[in-house]
Amino acid sequence: MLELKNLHVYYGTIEALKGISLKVEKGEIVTLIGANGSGKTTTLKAISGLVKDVKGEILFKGQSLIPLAPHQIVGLGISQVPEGRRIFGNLTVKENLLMGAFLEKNRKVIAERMERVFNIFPRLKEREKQLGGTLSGGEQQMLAIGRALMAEPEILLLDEPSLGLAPFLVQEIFRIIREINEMGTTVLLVEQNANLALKISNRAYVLEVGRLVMEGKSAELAEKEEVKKAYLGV
Amino acid sequence: MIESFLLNYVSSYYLEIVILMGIFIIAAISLDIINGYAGQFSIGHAGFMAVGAYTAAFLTVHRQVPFFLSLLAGALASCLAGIAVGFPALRLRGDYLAIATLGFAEIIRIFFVNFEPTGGARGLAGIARYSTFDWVWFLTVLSFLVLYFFTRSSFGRSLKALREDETAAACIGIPTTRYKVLAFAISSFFAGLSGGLFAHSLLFIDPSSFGLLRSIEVLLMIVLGGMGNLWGAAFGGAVLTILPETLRDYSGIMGTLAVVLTLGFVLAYPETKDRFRFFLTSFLGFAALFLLGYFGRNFILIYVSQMRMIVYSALLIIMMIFRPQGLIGEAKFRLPFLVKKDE
Repeated sequence: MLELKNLHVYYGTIEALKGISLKVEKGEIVTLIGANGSGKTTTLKAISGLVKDVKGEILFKGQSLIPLAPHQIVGLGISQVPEGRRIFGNLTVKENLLMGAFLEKNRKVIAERMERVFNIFPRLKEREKQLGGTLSGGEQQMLAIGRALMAEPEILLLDEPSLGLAPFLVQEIFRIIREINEMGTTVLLVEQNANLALKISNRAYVLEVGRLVMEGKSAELAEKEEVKKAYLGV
Repeated sequence: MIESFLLNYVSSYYLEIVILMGIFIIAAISLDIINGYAGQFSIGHAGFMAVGAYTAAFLTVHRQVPFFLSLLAGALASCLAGIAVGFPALRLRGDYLAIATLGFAEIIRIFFVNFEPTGGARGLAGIARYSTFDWVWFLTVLSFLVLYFFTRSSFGRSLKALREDETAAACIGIPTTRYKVLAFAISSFFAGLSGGLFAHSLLFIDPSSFGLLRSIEVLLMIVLGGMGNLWGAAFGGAVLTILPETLRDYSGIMGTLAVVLTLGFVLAYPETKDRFRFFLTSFLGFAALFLLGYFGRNFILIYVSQMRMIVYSALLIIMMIFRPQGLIGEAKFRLPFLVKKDE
């Protein structure tokens, strides 16, 4: 469904991605793991159109995303949950969610989607009228994911959903990611918490300073010595 | 209509202040769209007002175009100017945008200094007094309602999202560039309208009416009232139009101080448990005020003209220290008959 071919990304003179190729098929959870600065977030930003200095190909259902602006890419069914959540702090939870359905004009459809998001995250329903900035970290992450789901994406790009969360909340968020996937949304997950990411995903890619160094079924990768040493802390 | 009725009760001096109040309320709420809602820091609002004022006044004076059409033309011309500024604004943020908008306003001003058809630096005189109470307040209420619905629509919400976090806004599919230009266009349209009314109320305009100070005055209004809140902007516009006038004489200064103190106490102690402190401090405050008024009368009377601007600026400073979120802050009043309850 989503395919990157020999993708290079530049920040000024620095080459952050040095030609990576990867594929995400419909219904999968694919994870990208790697250390700090290996280019995981950059990959997602290139897909969602937030960085534009790119070479190579980004194809979504055969269509190239490179000439498109971020809002057009969202319109095609690709939603990103940005790193560090980036919810709208001075808007209420409900308003945040409404913003997520920005491209949908039909009120009925929006109400249905909101219902669905509230089913996945009952916590958000309780806090509907609170300002986004007053939520706890975990709730903000839920809100960020909920907001992305409001666009009813075909593929969800998740950037470090475990960042700064307590361990039991991380478990909870990952359980929910799985649930969302089972409901039919394809997921591309970028994660430092390689252990959990490999557990819930079907396939994985390992990035090292802008290059792909390994790929394969998550379960198999988790057994490899190099991966265990470098990323799983075993 | 209403004007002639009002003139039976108040002098034309007071009426003129109320008219100016409406004009500046339009200017303030329009600026609030850019600065408060979209979060883009613009200090060139006088430039847009100048475009509207000059266009409208030129049309009524030299081309005998009906007042309303001239106003509309002024607003549209200003709207075009707003779009023209909006585009460079896409690439600039914060201080840089502020400087760019400031520069734009200066360009407009210098343009009119050298533009002979509108009188150049001598200004444009002989404008008929079309900005009656009825016209101004009809348009003020209309502008407020239009902007009110704008800000409550998904458009307004998107602007706020843009203000909160531009990257996240782009991530959920808001065409950020288009929305910024749109915010500038709408805001400058109403600024132009306000400028047109301004010209037909003062009857004489020259480029110096639209200098940096004017821009800052409008900016002060929204900061004072509370940014990102139309009610606040309107309130700030009203207060800052009245304030310099009331500070002209002794009783005005005392009256203003009394209002400010009372307001200050109410705002400082809104909770009931603080009621005792509230009464105590307000009692002390009024006692101090009384003593000051009694013994300081001669002193204040002598220096009243010099004190005016000092009191004015002191009030602004005090206000920013104790109430940085603006007088109204985030408080909003629902127009219950117009808006569904749960939105």
